[in-house]
Order: sequence, then C-alpha cells, then structure tokens
Amino acid sequence: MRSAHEPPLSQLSRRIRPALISYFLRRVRDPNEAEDLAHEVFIRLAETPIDSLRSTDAYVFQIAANLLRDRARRNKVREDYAHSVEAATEPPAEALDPARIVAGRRSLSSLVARLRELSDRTREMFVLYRIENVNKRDIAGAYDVSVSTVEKEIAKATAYLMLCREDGE
Amino acid sequence: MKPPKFDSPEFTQAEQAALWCMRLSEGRMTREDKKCFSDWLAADPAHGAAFEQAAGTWREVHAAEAAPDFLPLRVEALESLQQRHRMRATRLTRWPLKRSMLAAALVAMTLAAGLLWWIHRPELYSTGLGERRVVRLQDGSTASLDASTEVTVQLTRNSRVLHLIRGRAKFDVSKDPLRPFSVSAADRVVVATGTAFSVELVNAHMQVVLYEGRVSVLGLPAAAPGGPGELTAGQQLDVELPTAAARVSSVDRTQSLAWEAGQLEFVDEPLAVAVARMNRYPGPRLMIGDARAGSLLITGVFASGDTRAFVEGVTAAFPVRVEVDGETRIFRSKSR
Repeated sequence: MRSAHEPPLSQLSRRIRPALISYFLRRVRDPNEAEDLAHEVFIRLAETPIDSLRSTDAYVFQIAANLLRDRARRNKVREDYAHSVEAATEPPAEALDPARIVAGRRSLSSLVARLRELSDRTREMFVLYRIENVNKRDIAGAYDVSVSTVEKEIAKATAYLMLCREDGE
Repeated sequence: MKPPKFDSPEFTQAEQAALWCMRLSEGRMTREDKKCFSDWLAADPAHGAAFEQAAGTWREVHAAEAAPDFLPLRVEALESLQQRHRMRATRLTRWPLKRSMLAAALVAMTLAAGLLWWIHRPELYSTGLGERRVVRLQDGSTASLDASTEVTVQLTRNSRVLHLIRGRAKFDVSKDPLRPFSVSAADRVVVATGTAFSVELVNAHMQVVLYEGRVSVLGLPAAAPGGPGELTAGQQLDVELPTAAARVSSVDRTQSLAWEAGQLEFVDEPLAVAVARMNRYPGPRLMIGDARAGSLLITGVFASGDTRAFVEGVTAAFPVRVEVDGETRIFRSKSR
C-alpha cells in the first residue's frame, strides 16, 4: 500500500506522457489532438479509483486505445475514418509491453552499460530526473549549474541512448 | 512558461526530441508550446521519428528501473545528490553574512530540520535479550527480528530505507518498483526488489542470506572475484568488516531460517560467531578466552537460550574447556 498523501497520478503522468503522445501521434498525426487525447487519458484516470491504477502502464494504454476507438466512431462521416479505424483496431500491445520493448531492443545489461559510458554528471542527472522524480530546479541547485544546463545533460543522455538503440537494430 | 527554443543548431535532432519529451512530461502544454511542437514536427519528417525514438528510449529506461542491475545506478545518483546538498550547505555558511542574520538563519534552519526530522524520523524497532519480534511495515513488507536486534525503518514516497544497527533480521519485501527497498548495515547497502533475505551483524562480520529473488550488495570492492555483490537465492554473502573481504557460499535455506523458529544451527561456524549468537538470548554470558578457541569450527543444533546445553555440547565435542566466573562462562582451548 502506498501512503495516502502521494499523488500517484502526477508521477504516472510524468513517466508516461511522452510515450502516450508518441502513441497518439502515430495514429492521429495532429500534435494538438495527440496532446488533447493524452490529457483526456489522465482525466479518465483521475476518475478511476486509485487502487485500479496498480497495473499502470498497460491500463493507461488500454484507456488510450478506447479513446481512439470512440474518436473513430465520432469521426465516422469524416474522410479520415478509414485511417482512424485502422489505427484504433491495431492491437496496442505491440509498442507497449515494457518487457517486450527491452527484450526486443537490447538486454538490460547493455542499457546499464550504455548509461555507464556517460560522464558521472550526465548519468546522475538523467537518473535523478527520469527515475527518481527530482525536478530540474533541484538538480540544478545541487550541482550548482543552470536549469538549461541540466536540460542539456538530460537531452544528451537521452540522445546517446537513442543512438545506441538505432545501432542495435 | 515561455515556449522552448530547441531548434537551434546547438542541439542535434535527437536532443531536440529529448527536450520535447521533457517538456511533455512536465504537464499540459500552453497554446504557444503546442504551436512550437506542431511546427517542429512539421519542419522535418525525421523529427517525428526522432520523437518516437526518444519516447521509446524513456520507456525502456522505465521498464528497466526496478531491475537489480539498475539499482546501483539509482543509489549512486541519489547519494551524489545528497552529498552535493551537504557540500552546498557548508559552502553557504561561509558566505560573509552578518552575525545576527546568520544566527536567525541558523535558528530557522534548525527548526525546519527538526520539523523535517520529526515528520520523516525513522522508526526504531528493537528486541531485548531473548525476545523475538515480527514487524509488519506500512508498505506490506515484514521484518522479523532476532533477539538483541535493532532496526530503523524509514518509509518515504520514493524509498524504503532500513538500517540494521545490531543483531539479525529477515526481510520479506513487498514489490514496489517505484520505491527501492534497501537495508544498510555497517556502511554496506543491500538493495532488493520483491524478495526475502536476512542481514546480520555478528563479530565484525556482515552476513546476507538470500532466500528468494535477487539482491545487490553495494559498497564492496568492485574487483572482488565472481562479483559477490550479486546474490542468487540460496546464497550467503559474508563480509569481513574491517577489510571488506567478501565470500559467497551456498546455504541450506531451511536450516539458516531455523533461528526464526527458535533454534540455532551451526555448520562449521567459528565458535566466536556461535557464542555471539547464543548471547542474544538470556542465560549466562558466554565469552571466548583465546583466539584458538574462538576460531574452532563447530557444528550442532541448539535451542536458542539453552546456554547450558550449548556449553555441555561444545565442551564434549571440541577441544575446549569452560571456566566459570560468576554469571560468565569463558571458553578456553585445552592445552595440548
């Protein structure tokens, strides 16, 4: 059981929003709409009792898939009907199962090894920001640098992991 | 928030995509942000692909974050943050402040620190001589304390930090990937996810026995053979504390759990360690008279607290004699 004062939803949002928007973007093309749909997902999540948030990721993407289906129904008369239906009926699991993503792309140990190849500062900032949920301002304060430097370091780390990802394919 | 200006040549496409992920993860975007994002995506078809890669990379990292391999990275990052906060605090006090301001700031800081400590103070659980106790923690984990044991527990939003001050305790950890569970003892840290293990401090040794799952032990010499920092179920790690010399051996799981059921089992254990464990229970205090006696390897099963049977058994089977000094029994090696 988590303690009651924790806002699990905002933590979840922080973790999953980029992936969610990327998921919608692939299917609706319009970034504004992708963003709105992502927002809608979190509104629906907020309406569900906290306990059902347990299986988080899978659950979030299930809501996302449902939203797309509703949207496709609404847009029946529009010309993008065919495209939406195709998108919405596509099984969402393919891009979503975290275990599959890691197994498919590379082993966990190589991910850790890549992170180790970064400088201590770059790696620490990335881990603190992405995993430990420390905000950029606090990281900047602790390392005595500007917030934009922290942003650069996190972007650098992400870009490096992306590069390795493409290499591995 | 002003719209991010990421598309300067200063950033590669991948970095721009990462910066957008960052912006998106921080909450709902303003109209201006959205426009920038649309423009960025429209500017080059490669941008959309890069964004997808960046978001996918982050998901990979999150899928991996609870894995034992990953935990050392997290612990290092958090430790570094903590250390930097401390360094910063000392640096600030060196600024030429007026004495009265400094005093006021100190009072305020002390109050704030006291309040924080009060809110987040670790909970202390302890057992006395011969006492056994099972504590159910707020997160659903349990800690089973051997006699003469002290453990502090601090559960926060992001972590579960336990500290074994003395004695032995077994932990059954409930899974919670967002809150790593760690037990520190004598500057070594055991990090676990959803697992059962025990940690013991005995005679300047730290012992970790893993019953289920996996744990990583941090703070060991990196070059140790076979990487003793990683344990698999049924293994025991023994760390000699002054030298940090580490040794991994396999254990009989049911046997090493006998203490939970009130029995002490020793298999080729130095007499000094057996004595330290017996002394957690009431009865005459046991002592080691000379190093040779202390290093004798003994084997046997004893009821915890039955010191008399222990003394009789050991003196009958091994080349030691016992000297009685009031309430103390001293083991001395027999002169050859």
